[in-house]
Order: sequence, then structure tokens, then C-alpha cells
Amino acid sequence: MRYQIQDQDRRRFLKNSAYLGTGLLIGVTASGCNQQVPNNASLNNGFQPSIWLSIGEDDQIRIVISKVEMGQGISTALSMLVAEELDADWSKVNIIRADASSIYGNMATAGSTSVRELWSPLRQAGAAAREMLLAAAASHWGVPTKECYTDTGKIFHSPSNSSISYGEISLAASKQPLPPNPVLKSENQFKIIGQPVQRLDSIEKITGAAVYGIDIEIPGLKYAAIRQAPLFGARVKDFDAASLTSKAGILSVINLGDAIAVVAETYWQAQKAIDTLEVQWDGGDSSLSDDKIQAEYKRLALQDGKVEVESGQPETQNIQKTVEAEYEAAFQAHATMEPMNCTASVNSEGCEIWAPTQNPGYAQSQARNALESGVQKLVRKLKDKLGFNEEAIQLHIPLLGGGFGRRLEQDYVIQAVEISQQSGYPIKLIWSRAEDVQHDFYRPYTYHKLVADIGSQAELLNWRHRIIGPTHGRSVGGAAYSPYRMNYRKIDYHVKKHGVPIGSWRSIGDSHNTFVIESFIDELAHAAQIDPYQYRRNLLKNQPRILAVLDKVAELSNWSKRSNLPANRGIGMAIHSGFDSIVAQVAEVSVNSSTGAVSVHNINCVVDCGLVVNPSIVRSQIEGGIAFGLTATLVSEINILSGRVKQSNFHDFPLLKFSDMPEVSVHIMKNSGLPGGVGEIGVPPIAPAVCNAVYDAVKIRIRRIPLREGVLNS
Amino acid sequence: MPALIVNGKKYEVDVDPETPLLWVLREQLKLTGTKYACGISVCGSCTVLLNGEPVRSCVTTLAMSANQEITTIEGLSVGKALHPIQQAWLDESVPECGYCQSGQIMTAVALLKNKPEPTDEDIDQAMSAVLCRCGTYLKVRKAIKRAVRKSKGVV
Repeated sequence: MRYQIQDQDRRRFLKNSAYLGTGLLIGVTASGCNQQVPNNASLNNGFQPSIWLSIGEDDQIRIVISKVEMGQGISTALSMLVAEELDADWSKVNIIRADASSIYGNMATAGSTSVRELWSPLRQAGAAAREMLLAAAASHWGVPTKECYTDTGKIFHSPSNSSISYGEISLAASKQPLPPNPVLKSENQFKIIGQPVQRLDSIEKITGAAVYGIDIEIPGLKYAAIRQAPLFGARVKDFDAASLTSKAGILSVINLGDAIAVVAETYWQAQKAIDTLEVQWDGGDSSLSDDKIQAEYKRLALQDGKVEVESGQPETQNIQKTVEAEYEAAFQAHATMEPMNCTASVNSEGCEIWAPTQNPGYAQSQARNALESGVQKLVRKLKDKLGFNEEAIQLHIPLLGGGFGRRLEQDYVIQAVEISQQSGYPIKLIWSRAEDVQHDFYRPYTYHKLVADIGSQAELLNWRHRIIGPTHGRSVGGAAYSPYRMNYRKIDYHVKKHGVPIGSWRSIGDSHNTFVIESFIDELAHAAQIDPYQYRRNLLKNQPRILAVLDKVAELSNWSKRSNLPANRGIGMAIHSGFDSIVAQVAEVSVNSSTGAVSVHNINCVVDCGLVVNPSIVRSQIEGGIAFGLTATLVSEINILSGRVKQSNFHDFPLLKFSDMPEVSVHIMKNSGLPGGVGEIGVPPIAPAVCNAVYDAVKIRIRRIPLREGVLNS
Repeated sequence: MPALIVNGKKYEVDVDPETPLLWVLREQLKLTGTKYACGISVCGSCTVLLNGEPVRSCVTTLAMSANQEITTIEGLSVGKALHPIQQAWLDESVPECGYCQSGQIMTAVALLKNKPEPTDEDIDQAMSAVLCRCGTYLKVRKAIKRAVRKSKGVV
């Protein structure tokens, strides 16, 4: 078994070590480290040159993963960085999932940043360890270090025909000084980075052994179900707790203010009880609806907003054509397959939490706040003081059954801590799917107004994009930057809150803004009567890296042969740059002439994500991003009606299904330098590529996604 | 007390017979590989085999499954040897978050048992019953085809 949850011994070491606060750099001397860690079981008793890895006498290499694994393959990618510089035997690599600790620096896993953040520190950690092993072996043989080399977990000395494994020399290596400036490999020396290495977490996930948050079992565990206020902002007014106490297995009924939780011997007992519980609620705005929000946003679209970006001077002469359009993108739920859940055990000694969270540091501080306010409420005395500090809160992060930004929020962690604290039991809180769908932090509904002026040579003179949404960053993000050449650009916005919780949704603002921008660019191309590919080419002349991606996708999709497509079939293109990567997609679709239903047949995708760590993982992320984006383009949306979310499960918030998944061909551009992000870039271009293809097929312009009812009805 | 036969092993379970099999497997038997995701039989994450046929354990009660042969993801491999479908899944690196994969694999196992050489339409029909938010569908299809090829000695 490659997977191990990190244990308390290691945590104790981290707290005691001189290493605290240095975060991302290797810094503890190996000898000091070994003296301080007599029982450091999880990283073994061998050689631990830094917080990031250890090598046991059994040759097993344990690599600490400080970023959260939610399916994006980060455990494998980060392990590859260490293993590469270590010249490790990949078959000996084991993952250790880090508990929440400030020692690792930023553990928040979001924005496709993990590899970019840890690219240098993890390679340095591997390289430093390798140099120490090399020096120890040379000293062991009494030969100059420069006569020795490493390969696949061993050190070799050719003149004497000697070799020794990393494990065999590990104890001696731990007495070597830590090299201050370990030498990193050049790209042409890479043996692991750049290879489609098989994921380290596959085996546990295909045998049922993988431990997700929902799978945590601890001694004495009880189970909690929850019902949250159906209307946003509502509070519990009254509930009939007495009706539950006689039911089998019910241990506790807790009023959390905006929710009621039931603790029982089994989850089923708890969920059945909460389903039958009568609760009266106070507050909320039952007049809130999609229609109301849309009407308000539409009205705001007529007024000047706050300026996000304004560059150049508006061109007033030479305007050949003015194109105007209004676009909308609906609310979207994350709908991770694993519903929100958290296990917490609060007692007078402290608090231990198993939280499937994308944001361990935030989870810890939120848990602390909840505990402290709970303590104040209950006047419960802790062992030696009122209140908890982060050291008293041990937070483990099991596997996440999907994240996509949802688990950056810690609402379910706070609830679990409060339920455990108030009930006095170690509890596992599991949200029903209905709770999960109706109490998400959604991608915001946004409204967009665009006006562009085209010159006599089809040049883009003026571009005005106004965005109306409930938050600034998540509404406007991704709109400010444009690679297209234009004389004048103005992006302005209105923030109008409405009480629906808003969060980060895979690719954040880029998801809807790329839909709007790339659809409108397509409109401009048609207005200028220029092929949309050529039109983009003309506007990207000064962007060689982006242009190369665009040209490649045109080549691979046979763009120039598009006129041969049968009736009601079309292709569309979109390009996006963000997260230090560039991605272009060409979609081929057909529209059913009687139902208007859109089928997506294939996607040609070209990615430039800088230096590639694992091409197989890059492909998975792109395919996954496309599936995720297609659900929001063609399949599902969240509607607000009478102050609450209308949908409640996968029957009315369906996901793209197997038979509707198009063929996807991913071409990865060869590039060197630094890696770019890949977790999110698959999403933004898919909506505009599909909608532009629909236009190509039937000359109907889609200006609102998702397109659930088909084009003919839109 | 209802008895359950899971992965060839007999268990006596002391819970309400109306409890869904899903929760009995997970909480009483500690077989947590079978996953809860929708609870209303629409997503397929909780799929197990009941007498060899795929069923949704979230809507199959303990009473309905008592004394019948139940196979879960934990019962597919024999010792260290993976089931051919699991091996194909491993070779194609199918899982991303992995949460729905027990349901995907159990559904694919049942498909190949009934149709050892499925057409694309057969695969579409069977596998469209299981939702995946990460979008592993293309790799699921590849893995099924790989397992079929391997069963015929063509690798």
C-alpha cells in the first residue's frame, strides 16, 4: 500500500524542529533531524534531509504531499519533481499526505498553482538529498565524490565497480551537511519529468481501498445528518425535537442557528430522522428569483459601471460597423461526486478533524473560531485554557472526491466541529445530495453587455465589455486580459449582491468571460465577413506563442476543409490564455433539425502549458475540463426560485453522461522553461467553441448558457 | 437477524432491515469502497453486484439483499491479483478523483460478463448509467476495450 495518513509523531517533530516557519526551503541538517525524530514512523527512521522526504533503510522513499489530492493527479506530479532530482527508483516512491501545518507554506489547492508553486522547492529537496547520498557513498568507499554518480535509487563508482542503494547508505547520508545550493538538472537530463508516469493513486482507487473524507472511521464514531435553511439567509425559528427522541438510535438534535443536525448511531437513522423533522424557519427573501436578478442586472447593464480596465483612446472616425450583444451565463453548482462531509472529534484535550478540504489552513482557523465561539456559548472549560490555538487542532486531509473550488469553503467543517462539540460525540457529518446541491457556493450568474466597433479594414477599433455580477473577482476575472489587438478597450462592472452564496468554480471568472469574449469575437468575425480563424490570426499577430497554438488547432482540426460539412453540422473555435497556459479548442457539433438538440462529436484541443511534468495527467485534466464545461454549456444549471435553489439532485441537475462525451484529441505543444497550470484550462474554451460551432451549423447565435432546450427553442 | 453474503463471506447484521444495503456495507461491514453520491438511484456510484447483476445499493434494502450473493469492489480482486477490469483501469490510469470509480468498475464487470465483446452502443448504454464529474469517460471506454482485447489474447 503506497498510501499512508501522516501520524502524530511526524507532526510532533514538525512542531519541535528548528525548521518551523521556513516553509518551502530545505533547512534542517540531516543529523540534527535524526536526533530530534526518534519515533518518526511515517517518514521512517532513515534519512530525512528536509520536510519533504525521507529514505528508509528499506529503500522506500516517502514524499510528503502538501497539496490536496482531489483527482487532479497532484500527488503523482509533485512526487515526480522530487524523484527526478533524487534520481529515485520510481517503484519505491510512496505518498505521505501532509496534515495541515504552516510549515508547508500555502497548502490551499486552487487556481492550478500547485506545480508552479512547488516546482523549485521540491526539486531542490530532491537534489539536496541526492548530493548527500552521493557524498556519503563516496566517503564510505574512500573515493572522490566526483567519481561517483547516481541512477535509479543507487550510487555507483565505476572504477571500483561498486554500487550501493540509497537505503543502504541512508543513515550515513543523514550525517552529511545539507548542501546550501544543490545543483538542479537541466531539462535534457530529465528521466521522470515529461514522462506519462502512471498515477500513484490509481491502485487504491480501483480496489476500493482509497480513503476519502466520507470513509473515515474512528473509535466511538456517531453519524450526523443535517438540514440547512432552504431559503438563503433564513434561520431556525422552531422545531419539534421531541418527535425524534423516541426514535431508535437518535442521540442528539442540535440547533446550529441556520440548520438542524441530528446525531445517531447510524447515518441512515440520522438522515431518516432529519427528513421527517418539522422545522419552522424565519427570514430569507422568498421573492428572490432568477427573473428578479436578471431584470436588475439587465437594468444595470444600461449604466456605466466601475472601470476595471481602460486602455487606448476611443476611435470615433473610420467606424465601419458597430456590433452589440448581451450575454448571460447561469449559476452553476460544483456537484462533486463526494458530497460535503467532515469528521470531527472535540474533547477537553483538543480537536481532531478529518476534513476533505482544498484549504487546510483556512479550515484550521475556521475550526478554531467555531470552537472558541462554542466554548464561549457553552462555557465549557478546556483542560488549561479557554479557547483553542491551531496547535490543539489536528487537521487531517483525506482524499477528496472532487473539489473544483467547492471545498475552498469550510462551512461543513465548522458544522462538524460544532456538532461534535455540542453533542459530545466524535461525529461524521454527511450532507445528503439535496443539501449539497442546494447549499453550494455557486458560480455566479453574470450578465454581459458588449459593444465593438470594426474599422474599414476589419480592424478591431473599440471594445467595450460591461459585466454585472454579485462579486467583483469571480464575475470580472479573466475579462481584463485580452491578447487581441484593439485600439481601445474598456471593461467596467457592477457588483450587485443578492444573497446567493458565491464561490470559485473550476476556472472561476474565466469560465463565463471566455464564453462571452470568444463568442463575441466570433460575432465580429462574421460581421466583418472574415473566417473566424483568420480573424483571430489577424488580431494575434503580435502574440507568437498564442498564435502558434491557434495555428496548430486549425491544422489538426482541418479547419480549412470546414465547408465540406453536411447540413446542420458545424465547427467552432475558441482560445484562452490563463493560469500561465494557453489552450485552443475546435468543436464539431450537429444540431438535430427537428428537436434542436446539440450533439458534440469531437474536440480538437491544443495546449501550451509550458514544460510538461506528466503528459498523461495533462490529457486527463483537459478531457475532464471539457466534460465539466460541457455540463455547464449543454446540460445543467442552477435556478433560484422563491428564495432558494430549485434543483436538488442529479435528476434535475444532471451531469454530462458517458454516451454524450465527445471524442477529444489533445495535442501538447513542446515547450521548455516553467510549467503552466492545467487543472482549469480545459473548461473556458469549450462553451464558446461549441456555441460558435452551433452558429456555424445553423446560424443561430447562442448568448446564454447553458443551452438546455436545444437551439431551435432558444 | 438478516444475514448478508458479501464477497463470499457471511455476516449477521443487527440493523433495521429497511436500511439501504449501501449504508450496511459502509458502516456495519466497513466496506467503504461502495460510495454514496445521490441516494436516489440516478448516479451509479453505489453500484454493487447482486447475484452477478448490477444494482444500486442506495435503494436496495438490507431485507431485499439478505441471503443473496453480493459482490463489492473489495471482492473483485483475488489476493493480490487484480480483476481483469481493474487491471485495464490501472493500465489506462482511469481514475481522477476516483469517487465514482467503484460504480464504474462494477458496471463494466457486469457488462463484460453479459457481453464479452460489447459494441460501442453496448458500452454507451451500460456506462451511461454511471456519472463521473471528473470526466473520465474516454478512459473508461479505452479501459473496457483493453480488457476485451486482453480477454481475446490481443494486447
